Amino acid sequence: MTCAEFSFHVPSLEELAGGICGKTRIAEVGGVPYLLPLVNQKKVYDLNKIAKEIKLPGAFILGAGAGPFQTLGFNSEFMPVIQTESEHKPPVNGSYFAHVNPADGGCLLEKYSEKHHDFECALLANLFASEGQPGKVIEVKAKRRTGPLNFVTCMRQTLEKHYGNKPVGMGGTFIIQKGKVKSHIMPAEFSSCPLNSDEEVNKWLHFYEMKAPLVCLPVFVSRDPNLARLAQRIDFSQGSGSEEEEAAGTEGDAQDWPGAGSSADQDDEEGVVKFQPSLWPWDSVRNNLRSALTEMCVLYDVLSIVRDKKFMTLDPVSQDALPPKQNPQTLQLISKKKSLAGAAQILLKGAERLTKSVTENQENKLQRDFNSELLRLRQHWKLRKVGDKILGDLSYRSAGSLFPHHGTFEVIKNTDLDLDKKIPEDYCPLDVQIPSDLEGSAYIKVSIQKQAPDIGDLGTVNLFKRPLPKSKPGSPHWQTKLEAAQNVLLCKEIFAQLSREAVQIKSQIPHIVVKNQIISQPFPNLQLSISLCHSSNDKKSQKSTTEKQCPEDHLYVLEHNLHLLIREFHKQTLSSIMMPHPASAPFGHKRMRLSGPQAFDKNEINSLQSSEGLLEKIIKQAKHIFLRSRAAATIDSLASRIEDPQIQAHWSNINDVYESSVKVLITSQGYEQICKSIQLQLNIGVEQIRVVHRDGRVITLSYQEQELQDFLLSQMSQHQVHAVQQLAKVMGWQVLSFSNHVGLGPIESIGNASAITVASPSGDYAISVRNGPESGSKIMVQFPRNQCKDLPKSDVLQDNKWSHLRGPFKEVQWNKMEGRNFVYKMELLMSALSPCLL
Amino acid sequence: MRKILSPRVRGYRQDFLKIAQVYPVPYLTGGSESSCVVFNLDTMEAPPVTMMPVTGGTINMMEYLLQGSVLDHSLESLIHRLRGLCDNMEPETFLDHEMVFLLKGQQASPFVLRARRSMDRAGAPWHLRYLGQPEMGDKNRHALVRNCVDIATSENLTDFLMEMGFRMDHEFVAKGHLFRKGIMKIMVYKIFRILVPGNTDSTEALSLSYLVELSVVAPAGQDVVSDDMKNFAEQLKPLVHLEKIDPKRLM
Repeated sequence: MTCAEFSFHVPSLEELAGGICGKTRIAEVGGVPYLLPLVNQKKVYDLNKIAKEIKLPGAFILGAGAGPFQTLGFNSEFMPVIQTESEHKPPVNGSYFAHVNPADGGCLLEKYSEKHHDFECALLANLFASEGQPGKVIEVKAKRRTGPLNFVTCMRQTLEKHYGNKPVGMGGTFIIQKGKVKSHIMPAEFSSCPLNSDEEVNKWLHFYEMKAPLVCLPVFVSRDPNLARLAQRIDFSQGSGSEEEEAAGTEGDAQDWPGAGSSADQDDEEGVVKFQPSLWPWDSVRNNLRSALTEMCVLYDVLSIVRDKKFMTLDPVSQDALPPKQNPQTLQLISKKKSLAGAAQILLKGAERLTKSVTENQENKLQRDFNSELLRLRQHWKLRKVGDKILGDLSYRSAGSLFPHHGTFEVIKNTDLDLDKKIPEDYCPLDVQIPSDLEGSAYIKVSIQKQAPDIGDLGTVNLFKRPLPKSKPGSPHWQTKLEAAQNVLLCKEIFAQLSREAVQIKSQIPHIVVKNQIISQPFPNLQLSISLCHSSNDKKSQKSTTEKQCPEDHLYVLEHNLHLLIREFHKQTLSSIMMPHPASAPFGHKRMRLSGPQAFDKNEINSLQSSEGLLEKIIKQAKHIFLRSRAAATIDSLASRIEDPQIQAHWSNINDVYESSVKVLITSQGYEQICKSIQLQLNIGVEQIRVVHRDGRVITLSYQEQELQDFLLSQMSQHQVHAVQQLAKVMGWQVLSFSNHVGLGPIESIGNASAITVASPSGDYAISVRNGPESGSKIMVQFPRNQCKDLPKSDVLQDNKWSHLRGPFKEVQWNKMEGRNFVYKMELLMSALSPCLL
Repeated sequence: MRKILSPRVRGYRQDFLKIAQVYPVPYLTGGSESSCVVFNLDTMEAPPVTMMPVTGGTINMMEYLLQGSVLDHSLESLIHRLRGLCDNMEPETFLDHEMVFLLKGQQASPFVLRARRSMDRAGAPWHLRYLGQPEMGDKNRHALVRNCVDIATSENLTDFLMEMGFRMDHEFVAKGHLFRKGIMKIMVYKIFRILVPGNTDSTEALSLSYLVELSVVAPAGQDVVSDDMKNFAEQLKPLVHLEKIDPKRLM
């Protein structure tokens, strides 16, 4: 097949070079060592000069190499297709270069002559040179890949197999017609750090998948002619020529080793044959090493046997020639060994001591290092660097606080440490400096007092010192210090907010703000005082406060709630700002923006703006707490004072801060099952108590305790009458009349008396009960006329049948009746009157 | 004035400006630009020319504006950065439909009002906005400034405007993210073209990038806010370069 049929992808060159035959040569220029591990930028080449060097000026050169970074300015892959200069022809450069596109990281193939007009390349190039004549070539067709080796390697191995030791070169071009090829492109920058492993090289290279058609310009040699030559040149026979006992290592004895050349044909015992063993260039080297290993093994065995001194001993051989030569040497060696061992021991000891102290130091440092402390501080607190200071932020600003106090603390290095003295246990290299007004400890005290104190007492809240909270084990002391300071800040913020509101809010009884105390009157004769107790660590304040340590009526719930409220307030400021929708609208509350389109009236708009302050909320809570405790006290005192009927109060555990409820049951002992008349639900609010009756009636009571007491008393009196009614039902008596509120008889000061009249089953007797909350109970029994002795004979009712009519009422001396309570007495009375009908 | 437009920004801006173009104030003959013109909606007549600046309330407000844009693929990193820089709140998205209305008077330049409604939040009021002529200002002011009047309205705004003689010039859908830092509002959004007029369901993205706007609405003369805006814009570099962009130069 002639070359003319081949079509090159560089038409201009095709005219110049009809083929790739005639005085073909392969030139290996430069090499990978100039690229890796670090680039050698001095290695630049001119292809015209190379053509002259290989004694073929005007050669047609193709191949592969590295692009001329010296002209391009960056590293690239180079595909030289060049007609070099000669006497008759001008040089033509049809080369291509491929590089990484800096814009998108892709692979960019460009024609070299479009950019530059020199004939240079760099670092390395595998070139195939010819006169460019037509001639015979070999065509290789490959359909698909069958193994791990690539196309070029396959061809190379085929050549190697065929020609063996004889190196044969091959060059030319082939086309990949179909499929994809993974190929690398060197990046534009040389690696600045040395690339020592294949992995690093692969990382450095950029790999791309390239699509067919691709024209390739391979040049290769079946085997490196130099390698086999060099391998065989390694001389194993140049030993030091010393004895076996000296263990001189690999270069040892060489006498009986076969010559390097002859070993090439020797077969291995192992028989690891990949190719023909003789073809392998390192064969002789391997054989030599193997035999050296065998010798070493034998030497080792001999030495170990000699050491045991069982089977073999070494005696000085009585040879005359050797001992004088050997003895001074061995003696010298032994003395050298000894002195070296001594020196080594001293050195080792010293090293051990050093490592010990180093590790100790490190441990100390780890615990007490300023930087590690700073790191720990940084995990909990916000820090920033201003100039050469480290400032921290302990304010609640990021949580939504609007308190103007800057709340910064400074981180300082604790250097006042005597290095000679022992380091104290709690020494910490890091210290924090807190603003002086945040030092010490503070708390908010809320209390409710009955009596308004003298005006002179105002504002002098006892500052009694509480011991500083002990630091948690393991937590550094700056943590407790900062937490305390933050607490002081929060307390101050709460108090500032409260006093601001106290001044602003217009209430009927103005709130008084004096010094560190806010006094307000939720109910008449009642005083709520909120005070900020801040004790600094001065000795002066300590002295003055220790005297006045007395338990005070703290309302811990309210103090806690104040903290909760301020947090809620913070949260509100954070979350109240809503994002506008649509997005172009200004910030602001959505309802505010709706007020125009939806035509809100003034009240609605006002309700949007007003928000309850901290003080109002806390006063409401205080009112509720006070009302609740007073209601409880009232019910308890009634229950203990009055035994009949009984009062039971069931307080619900789950309460709102402004409302709680209690269920009050009024029963009679022993008759709980039949007398279930009175069940009251008391909803205790802020200003008033709402009573929900069992039958759905709702009564609203004010905060006055007397009202509740009166109400309960009237309910109790009604209960007795209700109980009689229930009892009558059980006993079979008839209810003749019943009234909760009797309009007759003496007027009760609280509530109304209630009354009931029941008749016995036979109708002979009737019992009438009147029960008032104040006047107590009055029970009358009506007898039939015939039983009344003292009844004057009437002239009108002479007939005997009239004697069955009921006669006058007689009062029962109730306190003389037997029985433990009212209902029991009633039952006894009823049963005493009932047998008469049998 | 020095201005560098990176190539990826330029294409977007021109598209954007077709829509976001702001027209000069009519009825303002010779008065200073900073004084505000109140359009009297009740009388349906052109308001009398006023030389007196309106003060107080929400009338005499200025919008300070910085703009920039990012390509779609770098949106996520910008959002991430903004979440770190802005106020600590849940990031919000928005989907708005904006219609721009023109009223042609005797003057050459028409009067422009922008009506905007939220498509993803029910119950939010419509928003009617008037934007004045943007002023570039000098180097000391780091943001574009324009007059603005914001009014929340009911949903029959379009009918009302039509009745008044306005006609709709164009409409678009803006979809994106909303952040705030103090009084600064940061909008990162994409503009969608509406294919069938009036039908906001069928839309088409206008470009492959997101518009980033940093704006503050403040009373007139408070140029200090532009310093804060500049500082904030510095912190967003190099994710996005926010600049004051003169719409006149891109026309």
